[in-house]
Amino acid sequence: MTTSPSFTWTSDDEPVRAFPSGAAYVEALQNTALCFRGTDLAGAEVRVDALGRPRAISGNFAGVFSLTVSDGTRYAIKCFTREAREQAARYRAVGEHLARLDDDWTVGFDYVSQGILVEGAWYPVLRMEWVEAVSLIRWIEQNTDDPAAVSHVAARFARLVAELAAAGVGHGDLQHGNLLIGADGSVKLVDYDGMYVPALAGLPAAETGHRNYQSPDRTASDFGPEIDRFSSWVVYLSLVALATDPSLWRQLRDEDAEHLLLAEPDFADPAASFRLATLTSHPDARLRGLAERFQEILLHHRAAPPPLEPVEPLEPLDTVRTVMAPAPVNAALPSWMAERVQPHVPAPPPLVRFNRRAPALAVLTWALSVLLPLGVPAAIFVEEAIAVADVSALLAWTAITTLGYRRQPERSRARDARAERKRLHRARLAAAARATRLDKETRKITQEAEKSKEVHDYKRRLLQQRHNARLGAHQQAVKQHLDRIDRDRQTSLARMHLEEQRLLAVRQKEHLRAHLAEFPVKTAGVEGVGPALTTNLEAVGIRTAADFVGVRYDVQGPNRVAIFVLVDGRGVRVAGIGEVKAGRIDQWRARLTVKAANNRPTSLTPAEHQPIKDRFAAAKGRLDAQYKQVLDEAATTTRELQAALRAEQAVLADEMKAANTATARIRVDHDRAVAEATVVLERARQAAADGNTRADAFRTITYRRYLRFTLTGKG
Amino acid sequence: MTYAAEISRANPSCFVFLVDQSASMSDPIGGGARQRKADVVADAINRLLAELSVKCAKEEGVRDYFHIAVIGYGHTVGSAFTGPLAGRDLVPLSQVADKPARVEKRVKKVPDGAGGLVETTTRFPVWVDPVANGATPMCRALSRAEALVSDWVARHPDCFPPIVLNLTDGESTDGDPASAAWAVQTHVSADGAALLFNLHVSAANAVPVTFPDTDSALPDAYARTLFDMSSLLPPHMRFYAMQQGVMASDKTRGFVYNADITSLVQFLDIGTRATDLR
Repeated sequence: MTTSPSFTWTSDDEPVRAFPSGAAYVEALQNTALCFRGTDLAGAEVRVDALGRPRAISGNFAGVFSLTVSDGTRYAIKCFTREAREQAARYRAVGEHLARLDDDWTVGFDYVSQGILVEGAWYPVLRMEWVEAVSLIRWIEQNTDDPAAVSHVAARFARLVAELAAAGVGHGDLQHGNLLIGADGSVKLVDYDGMYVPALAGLPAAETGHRNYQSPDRTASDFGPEIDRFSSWVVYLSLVALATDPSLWRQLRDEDAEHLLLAEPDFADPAASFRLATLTSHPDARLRGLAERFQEILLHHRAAPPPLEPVEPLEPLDTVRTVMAPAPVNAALPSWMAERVQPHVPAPPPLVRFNRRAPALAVLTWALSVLLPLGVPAAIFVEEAIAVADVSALLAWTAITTLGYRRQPERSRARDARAERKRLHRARLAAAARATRLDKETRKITQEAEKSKEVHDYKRRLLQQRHNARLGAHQQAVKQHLDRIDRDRQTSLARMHLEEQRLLAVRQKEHLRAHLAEFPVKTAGVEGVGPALTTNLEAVGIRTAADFVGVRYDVQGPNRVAIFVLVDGRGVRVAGIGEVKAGRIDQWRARLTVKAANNRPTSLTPAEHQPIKDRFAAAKGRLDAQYKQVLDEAATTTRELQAALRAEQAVLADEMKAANTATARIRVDHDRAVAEATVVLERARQAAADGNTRADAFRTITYRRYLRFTLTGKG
Repeated sequence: MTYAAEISRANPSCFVFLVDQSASMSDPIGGGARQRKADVVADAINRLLAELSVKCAKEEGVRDYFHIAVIGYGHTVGSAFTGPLAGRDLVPLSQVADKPARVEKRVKKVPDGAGGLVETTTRFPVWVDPVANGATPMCRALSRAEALVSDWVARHPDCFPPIVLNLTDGESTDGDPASAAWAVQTHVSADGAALLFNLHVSAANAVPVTFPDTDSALPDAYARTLFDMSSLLPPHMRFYAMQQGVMASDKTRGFVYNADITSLVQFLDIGTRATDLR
């Protein structure tokens, strides 16, 4: 069994609370001792699926589970996934009303406000008796080839609709899932969520039903005993059509489609409905009439359809019941059905023969056929006028027999059948041509869609490439700029280092001189350099170790002469100081120099450093600021480029979406056209074959055969 | 009117789930919970698949109202199904329902309705395991979804538009996902453009946001980008969202931040119509 209730709310609703989802109920139902705690369902056995989890039959707004309690009673428990206002009150009213009826379509139920515990909160459940039956679509699938059974269910359905009307009840969601067919052909109606009973007058509808069964004009304010009128037409017309022509089941709906022979689009636009057109042009007059009536309702009374008009007067229930007895099938068929129920390959109709022979004409013909051969010799030997009379008689005979032939009722029927055969043949050719044309179009549409996709892919790649190029160029420029600033910064830094090194060198030199100046020659104690030589040294300005920087030796003739190099670079000779002594004095200076080097300054003092740093800080600050500005600008530009790309991509996306939408619509229309053309062709082939068979039955109805019939009486 | 096509076996729609399986998914989610993001996301997918299976279950079993693909992206981009469906992309829902990798028995404490807690065991089908490994190639994942969606609408031009649901912690490592996201939404059936919804799991300890109509409450740029690239909720989904207590406006997007997204399944309309939208 199946339920598929739906609820709608109006704006004045009280705040809604979220209801558990289907999976939440599945989880809760794994412990029925807990979720039904304190009720007689506690510990009941729940039907499970292959994974061992409670098996749901889900509708849009509820799930139904099968539970068996300890005494073996089986229930259908409906758990709601959305809150419905006034649900308890509605069910109470429905229950009270149905209890007074003695109809066999009802299913007992019990609405339990505190029905099931899910994650700590109680929610209502609807407990129903379990019905062993299958939903209408499954039943039809199993019985498509049994027109008698389908016809019976159609009649039973019409009776059900009448019973509902008589009881003042509107079900609200008549559809395949809520119409259950039992093994005995009985019809049960389930899912009373949206049911109208007189006590609910004035309320809005709690649901508006399955889209493939309802008038597009139905709203929640339509709530009364007449709410099932539209859907009853939909169901009944489908059942009558299927009982008349089972091939419609396959031709007018996809396998697994969730509707009978008609669906929402047919109601929304009846003029464009292929399915409806197929029914209204059906060869079977009875079906055609019913379909035309429904078409008229769709065109003119869609919002307020009239009550169902069954094609057969409603038989008393008992009579309908007996139909299901395994009696010879055709014997129990309603009259309108009997002529349509045929074996799969219908026997060809019997050959039609002439059966109205005019005796006078026969005599005349015999006379002529006897006399005519004598005409020519008679004309030659007796009288020429006989030839004239002969020819006249022949002409008259021809005229009379032609007229006689034309007056034969079989002859006009034959002509009609042949014309029909020709028409059906042409229709078949046209259908085949259309199917071929559509086939070609399919290829074209596919090719165009592929081309459009390629173009858009190309545009997308191009956009990305252009963006990458722009971004690359931008990044390159930024890098170059930053490199330049970096180089300037390096240069500036190097220059600062250089100045520091220079200053340090000066400071070290000063340190050396100051150190050497502390050692006068006279206290140096250089071997062999006494006061006289000291005086000589002082005479040339050498008083301390700081006063000269070295000694060089010039060669003058055979002698080497020592020349002291003064601080200013001048060379002086010192009287009395030869090569050896000069060497000793220089070694004394060198020793002192080494000593001085040991404690010379190796770096500048902060005080010395600061002025240089200050001088370069301004330049560094300027460069740092430049660097940061370039980076900031680069980030902004990158963002702008990104934004520009996104904008371009968004435009392209819209363009693609529009193109794809157009393609999708073309595809939908085309696919529909192909499907319809296939059905039209199939039906045209069948019709042409039938036309052939019918025309073939008249193959003996010819003038020649008529003459033979006139002469011999044999058709 | 768009987004009104009947979802039926004869005219099915499809769901493409994209699951972030990058290394960062091994981080815990925000809010002091110790769960890893990868666990949260895998749980969400498994719940969604269970929810869809229940939603489409009829008397004879689960009907193929949808075909389902689960694409993981991280170290690689490809089918995230484990078990018998491993390696497959679009799978009819009835097969999904029948073939989880395993059914785990999970013990949890639930209220007993009398003020106490009681331990109960439930069977939890698992199709997708948590994975956290590699980068976040979201653009590639979206392109994969685009290919599936494009192919689907070509074969089902009249279907209810495909729904792509991306579950991620947000940070794409292979470029701006916005463009790839729009590309997904350029594929249309006669009933409307493919829908892209996003579930953002984040360690940023922020308040959960469910189906917002503005990005003002979102904590970071990743969340805002994901919000921007999410489709607007079609009217009928908005209507059902409101029935579930979500304050939905015509700017509400299919985006959820650190919150449950399984309610999405309850926004789907199968067979029956909501007349007041006409």
